[in-house]
Amino acid sequence: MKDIKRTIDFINIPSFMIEIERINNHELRNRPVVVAPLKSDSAKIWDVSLEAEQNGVHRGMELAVARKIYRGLEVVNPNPDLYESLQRKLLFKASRLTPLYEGEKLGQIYLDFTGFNKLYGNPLDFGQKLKRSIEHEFNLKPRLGIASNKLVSKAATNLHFVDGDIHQVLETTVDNFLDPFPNTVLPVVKDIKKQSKNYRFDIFEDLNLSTVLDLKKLDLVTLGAVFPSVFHHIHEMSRGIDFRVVSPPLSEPTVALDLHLEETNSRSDILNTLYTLADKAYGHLREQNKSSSEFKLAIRYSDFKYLEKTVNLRAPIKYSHEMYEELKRSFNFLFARRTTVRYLLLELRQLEHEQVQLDLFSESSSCKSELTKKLFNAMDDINKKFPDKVNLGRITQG
Amino acid sequence: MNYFNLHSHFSLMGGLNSPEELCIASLESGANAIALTDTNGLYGVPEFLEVARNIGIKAVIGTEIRRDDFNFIILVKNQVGYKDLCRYLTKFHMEELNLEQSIDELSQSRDLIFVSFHKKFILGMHEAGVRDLFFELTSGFFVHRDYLWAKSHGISSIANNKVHYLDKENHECYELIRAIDQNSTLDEIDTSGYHNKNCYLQDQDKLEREFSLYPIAIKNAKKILDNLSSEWFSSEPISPGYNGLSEKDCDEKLKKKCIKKIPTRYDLADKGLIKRVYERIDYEMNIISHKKFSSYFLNVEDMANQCDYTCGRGSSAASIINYLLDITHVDPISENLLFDRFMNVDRKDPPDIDVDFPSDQRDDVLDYIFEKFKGRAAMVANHNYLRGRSAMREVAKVFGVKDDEISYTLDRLHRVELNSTWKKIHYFSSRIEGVVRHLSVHCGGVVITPERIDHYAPIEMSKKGYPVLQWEKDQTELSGLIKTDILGNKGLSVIRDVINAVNIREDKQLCYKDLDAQNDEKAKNVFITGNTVGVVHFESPRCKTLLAAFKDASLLTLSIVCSIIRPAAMVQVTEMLRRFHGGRFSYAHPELEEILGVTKGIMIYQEDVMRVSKAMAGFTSQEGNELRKVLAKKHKNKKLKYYKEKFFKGCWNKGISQQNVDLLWADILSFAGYSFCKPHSDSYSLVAYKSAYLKAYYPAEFMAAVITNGGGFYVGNVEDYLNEARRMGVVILPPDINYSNYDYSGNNMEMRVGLKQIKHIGKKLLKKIIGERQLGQFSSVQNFLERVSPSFNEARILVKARCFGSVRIVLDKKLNHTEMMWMVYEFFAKKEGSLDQGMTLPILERKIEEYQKEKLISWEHDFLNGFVTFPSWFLYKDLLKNEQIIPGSSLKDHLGKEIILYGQKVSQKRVATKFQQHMAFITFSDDTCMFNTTFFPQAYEDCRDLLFLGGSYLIKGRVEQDMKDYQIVVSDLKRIGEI
Repeated sequence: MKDIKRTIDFINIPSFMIEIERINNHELRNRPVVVAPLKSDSAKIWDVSLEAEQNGVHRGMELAVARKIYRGLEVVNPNPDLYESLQRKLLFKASRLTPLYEGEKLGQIYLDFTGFNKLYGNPLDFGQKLKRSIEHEFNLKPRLGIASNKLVSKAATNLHFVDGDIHQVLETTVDNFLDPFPNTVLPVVKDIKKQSKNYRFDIFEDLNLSTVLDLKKLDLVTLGAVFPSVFHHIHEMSRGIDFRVVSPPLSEPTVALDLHLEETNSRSDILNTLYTLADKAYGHLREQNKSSSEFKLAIRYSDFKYLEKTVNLRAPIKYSHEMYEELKRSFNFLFARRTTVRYLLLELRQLEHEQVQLDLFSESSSCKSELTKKLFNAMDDINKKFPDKVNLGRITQG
Repeated sequence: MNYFNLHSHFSLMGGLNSPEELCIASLESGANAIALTDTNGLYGVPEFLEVARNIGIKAVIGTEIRRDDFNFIILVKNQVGYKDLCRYLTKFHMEELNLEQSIDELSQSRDLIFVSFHKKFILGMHEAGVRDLFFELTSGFFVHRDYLWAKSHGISSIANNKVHYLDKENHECYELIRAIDQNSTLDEIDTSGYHNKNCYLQDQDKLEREFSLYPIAIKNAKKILDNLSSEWFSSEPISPGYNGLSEKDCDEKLKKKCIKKIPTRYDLADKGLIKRVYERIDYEMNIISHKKFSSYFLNVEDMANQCDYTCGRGSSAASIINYLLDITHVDPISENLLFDRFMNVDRKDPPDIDVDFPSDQRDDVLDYIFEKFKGRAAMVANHNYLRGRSAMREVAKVFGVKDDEISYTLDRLHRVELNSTWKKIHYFSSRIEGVVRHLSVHCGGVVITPERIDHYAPIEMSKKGYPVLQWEKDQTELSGLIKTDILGNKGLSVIRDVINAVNIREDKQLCYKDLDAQNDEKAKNVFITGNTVGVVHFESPRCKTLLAAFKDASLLTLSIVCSIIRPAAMVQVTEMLRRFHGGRFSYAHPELEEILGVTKGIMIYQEDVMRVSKAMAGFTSQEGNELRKVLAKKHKNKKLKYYKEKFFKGCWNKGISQQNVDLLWADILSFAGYSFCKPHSDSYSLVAYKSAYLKAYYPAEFMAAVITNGGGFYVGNVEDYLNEARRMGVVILPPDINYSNYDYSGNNMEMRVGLKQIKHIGKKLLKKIIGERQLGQFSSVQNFLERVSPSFNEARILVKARCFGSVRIVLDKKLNHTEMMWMVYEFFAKKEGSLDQGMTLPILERKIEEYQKEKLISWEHDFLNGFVTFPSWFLYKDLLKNEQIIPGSSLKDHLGKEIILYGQKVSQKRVATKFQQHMAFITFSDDTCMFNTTFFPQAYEDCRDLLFLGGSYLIKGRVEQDMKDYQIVVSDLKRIGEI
């Protein structure tokens, strides 16, 4: 089969969070801005603008230190929901262009346009169009890297752009393109560093291998001795070879409801809210005539600590009261601190259609269950009729 | 009705009010007797008895025992009962007694009264034949049922008003401290057992109405305290006893010992002196034997004898008895020290001898004490109160405020506007201030008793395994127990280590006690030049400046310097210097010349207050001492008014002018802050002399010992000491697998970094390296790895810490650090099988570049905890070549000029001006010296953030002279980098 030339685009929106905040607040434009939790000295910086970076502030730095390094720093409280929603919108846009798209971090997306030349034309020209449409649609300024694989297209966006914020790496120059880059441009190196982070352990620093070229110079025996499990990857990637495919997210139907709370640490209040959330979620589920055999509960504390727990239920459930106990147990597991909670998310998964075949031995055939079913159906009807006006209270188990 | 179940704030988060508040409120409610029953202990008993006596209400001792599964109140009938209770409480804490064990233990006592609503306890005690047993009725739904139950078992009922707080409105605060204690939120407090809304002091009528159906229960409540009292509880000092001798025998033994030791301390040929010595011994012995303290002195002597390097300090150094017993080392006769400050006939509180030991040997001394006085000794506790920010922090946690925000807001409390949550937190925290949070251990206080210590007070066990009293030092004193402070002193450890190092290396034998440093010119010069970094008690920048300004190193001057820099006397510094260098002055009264002559008419020591009040206003020694103590207290206004009137009257009678009386009183008032007494200053100065002597003659050994013992004033910053060593000409050598000891070591003018300085390397491996080296030096990196078998990580760190300097040559090639690191990787690759045994990596064949210098320095900073072999200025040596940058040692050549210096921050002291603006005195160092700078408010405001970041700076400012010292008044600052 004839080799097909791959075309991978990488969209990178630098300082994604900052750019979003700047859309909301024009006064932040051209000013040194960081996104970090306010009212905290030990909080780490989430994102940093170019202006702040030029003054020595960087991502991950303690906010207190950053403030001391640069007094005029503007600090914006993080708004994770907003960033995620914009990322979802970007991904949605990507999905309309190609079925092969993949989100990396916030503001970073891979798009595989292999074989689309006839449809979209020259990759560079199409890249320009894509960039302009993002600028126009989202008011964000992306950088674009175009190459034959994910590794090189991403690295290309790290270059300093002079004109147009787009860089295409041609097949012929791929081999030496990565040589001057720091070794962290290779995902395999990043993975190794991440694994050994807890042990203050950096093989590359130890062995004075700081650039991709340093790695490229090592022979296979030496690489094998030092990186026994990944030497082949390093050998290939240091030469710009990357076979990773652009894989879109697997989507599974779920029912998800979330809620932003008035900050509270009252367990009973939060639990009551959570039950209400469950009632609503199962209401939606019943509308679809489905049941769920797994749920995910997530909470976010006011200090942005995010915890989640997934629970497999023994049998598919259609009515919320049947999972209250499990829900309570999961909540107690997650809510182990005294800090106030700000956000709740309940996601019902593994949705199944109700069995149409008669189950002679199931409890659901009992009168009590029938009664419950009728009661819930009646409540659902009332809720449908008066969605915001009626508060029927909760049906407790038994 | 009398209240027999009161909880004070000594209930460790189970009560809100102080014993004094409870006493006053009970008296106002018509009670004539009350019992304090703090939870699981007698944490506030001495204070309670004292305030009850002063207020005029009968006080009864008791406790409420609470565990998850049982609860009862114990009241003490008499002294025997008190001993039983102390013994039980000790066992309760140490052995965690359960209900059955508690019943077994308590049912033996006939001198305790028990009250409980816990039916199992009541039945158990009833079956064990306990007669003084009551069933507790508390208001609620089940009161009648309980009453009938008790009646059916033949047990008397008693109406109880459990009091955890005085007013009903304080219930919220009570819930708050319960939540803090249980580490929970307000809606999750464990309410089982003893948590209801009626735990406040209810008035008599209400109680009688509530229990009107049970008159017998009311009657019992009225009667229960009638036959009890606590008058038998004595606060007379309790002499600890010595080897079973009577106090009279102890007196004789003590005197004999002192007389025997006179020749070791005094020249027998000086008849006049010896006469005075005998007179002083007699004078002191009279007071000591009158107060029955001889055994206490003998015991302290025994403790001090456990170590060769000791320093008795505090007011006890004014005693010739202590001097002759080798507990202290200052001659009270030649230094004219006032014994009355330590002890006098009228002084009611027990004496307190403080003895310093080398910090790492202090625990050995404590072990000795607890072994020798097994069951008769305990350490004094500290009561940690909820106060200020700590209270706010705890309340904020209960309200669910995130940790970061708590720290953030507390740091800016007076600068930011508080939101509604924080206003609430502020409000509640101010209401729970003063509640005792938990117990900790006093830094050195030990008490010894003649009998088992749990006959005197309940004992708990510290984490370190030492028994601890339930009382802090003031209450210990109130209960008559005599405290000895066994304290750790790093300065003594340094002296010991230097003497040991020198004695091992050289033939001459230095001896701590015989070291005549006071008359050594080289040692004196250390003080005169102000080069006292590392010299214990004298190394702060302020001290160094003062010493250089005094230009004198007599004991008198050192004592003055040591004392005058304490807050109480600090205001006198400039005037003292003026007078010291010949400035004119006059005394308020001619008699003051005798008292304050040596300190040029300025009150510097604590006993100056006593002496002046005695001489000018006719105070007795005790009154003078009281005045000194009152000055140091927080709530002193009432008592101070009395002394002020007495002082003024006395002075007027003496014919002193109003202006001079005012001046004298103002001087006395300045002693409200922290101050030293002269014997204490003298003791410190003597140790400092020895320290300075060793620094002058053995600089490498001395600085090595200072660093090994964790430093002094510049604690935690090894670099400052290394820089000082460098400035003294000592060469700093990196750690080495073949040459380094575990600790830093000095040898002539070389100092080798100890292996323990390397971070992330376990003690076990370091010992193994040193042990393996005894079998022969390591010849190469591989040889080391094969013989010592460090882990991969440890081997990497040793390379980065540059420990392989002595094995760098391989096949005539000098390996660089990168190559050595590759060798480590090769070794472990073979070990783990990723490289065949027969194969080698092309390390020597290919060109492997050495790490960048900055990288090596950065690793040294990371793994040796600072700039050790490279001084920080090494990074900026090119910059320092610039002629515009002036070295710190040449400030005097630029007086009045604006200059630029390089400096690494050493220490900082921030102060507030009278306009509440912040300014700072900051010490920097460069390659030539340490120098002081002043940041006035504007400059400090501009540079504050940069200073916080640390690192190296370029400092711009004008050279000025202050107290004969040259310093920079900074106008601008630039941070030039960090590692």
